[in-house]
Amino acid sequence: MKPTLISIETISTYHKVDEDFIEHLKNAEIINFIIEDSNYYLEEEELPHFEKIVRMYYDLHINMEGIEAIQHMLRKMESMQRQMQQLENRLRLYEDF
Amino acid sequence: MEYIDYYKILGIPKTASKDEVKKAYRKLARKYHPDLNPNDKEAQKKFQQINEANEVLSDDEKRKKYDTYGKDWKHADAYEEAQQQGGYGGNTGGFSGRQQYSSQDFKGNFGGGDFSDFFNDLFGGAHGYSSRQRSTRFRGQDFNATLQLNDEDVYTSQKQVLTVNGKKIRLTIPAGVEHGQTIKIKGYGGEGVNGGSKGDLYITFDIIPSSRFKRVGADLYAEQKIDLYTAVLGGDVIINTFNDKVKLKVKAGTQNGTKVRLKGKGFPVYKKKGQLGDLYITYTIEIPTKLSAKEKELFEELAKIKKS
Repeated sequence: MKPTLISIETISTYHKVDEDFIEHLKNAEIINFIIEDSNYYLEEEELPHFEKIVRMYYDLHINMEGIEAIQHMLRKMESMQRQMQQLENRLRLYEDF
Repeated sequence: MEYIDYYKILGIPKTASKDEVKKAYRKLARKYHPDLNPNDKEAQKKFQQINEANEVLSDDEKRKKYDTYGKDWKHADAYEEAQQQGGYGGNTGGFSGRQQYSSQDFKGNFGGGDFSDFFNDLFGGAHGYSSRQRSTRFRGQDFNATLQLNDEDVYTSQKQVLTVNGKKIRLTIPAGVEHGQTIKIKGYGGEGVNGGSKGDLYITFDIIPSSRFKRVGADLYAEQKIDLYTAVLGGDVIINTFNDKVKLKVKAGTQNGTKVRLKGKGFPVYKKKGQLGDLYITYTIEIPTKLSAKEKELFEELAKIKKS
C-alpha cells in the first residue's frame, strides 16, 4: 500500500512552524522527507516523530544539534530496551527448567 | 488530599523571581519531558507536577493566592468571601497578559492538564488559560494499556473487545504475539489539541507462559521422560505437542539430555499465517529405582558382561 504523503506546506501551516525550521530538518537529515517532482513530503507515519521534534525545538528550546544528539540516544535506548525484553523472554526459558 | 509545595517541586525559594521560576521550570521540563523519557511513567508524573507548579508560580494571581493561603488552602474560599463582604478594596489586577513562556506550551501531548485535586480545589479546575502563543495543533496523547493473556490464548488469532477509557474497541489479536510485544491501534488515544489528530493506543501483551512448554519466539521447548529400556534399546514414545500428540522414534543408545527437533510443531509465527516454529524435545532418562530381585540379578549380569 502506498504511504500517505503530506506536503511540507501543509505541515508548516498546520503546525505553525517556519520555513527555517523545516530547512534545518532537511539539512540535518533528522526527518526522512520524500521528494517527488522536486516537492518535499512527509510520510504520515513520520508525523509523530516530526511533532516530537517540533516540541523539542519550540517548547523545550533545544537546538538542532541537541535534537540530533537526543534522537541518537533515544534510538540507542529503544534498541537496548528491545534487546532487554528479548533477553528477559529468553531468561524465562531457564527460570523453571 | 495533601498540600503541595510547588516551590519545593521546582527547587526554588519562596522569594524566587518570575525569571527564576521560568528558569527552574525550563530546566526540569527538559529533564522530565515525556518526549525525552519514553515509557517512563515516573518521569511523566514528575513532568505533570512541574507543569502544575509552573502554572501556579508563573501566574501572579495564582501565586498570590497560593502564597496567601498556603497550608490553609482548604479555607481559601471562605476567607475570600469574608473579605469581599467586609468591603475588600477591589481587584488585584487580574491576568497580566500572556507570559512569553507558559506551561501551556508543554501541555499538548501529555495530559499536562491533569492537575492534582489540590490545584483544582484551590483554583477551580485547569481551565481558563490564555491561548498558546504558537497555537500549534498537536495530535492527542498516546494511551498505553497492558493485556494479560496466556500462551494458549495466543496460539490462534482471536477477536477481543476491550474497554479503554470507556470506549469499546474490537481487536483482532494475531496468533503468535510475544510477551512484551506492543501493538499500535491508530486513533484510539487521546483527543488532539487545537484540532490535531487523535493519539494512538499502544497495547503491550503480558503473556503468562504455559506450564507445559517454554517459548522463545515461535519455538517451543519441552522435556520428555523416557525409560531406561527405551533409551538403551530404542522404541516409540508419544510426545505432546502444543495442541496435538505425535509418535516419535527413539534411537537405540539415546543419551540423557539428547535434544530432538520437531520441525513445524512449535508456535505460530506472528503475522505469518500457516507458518509454525519448531518444537525442541529434551529427553530425560528415568533410571529405575525399585528393582525386583530378578531385575537386580539381570543388571548385575549385564555389569559383569560389560566389565569382562
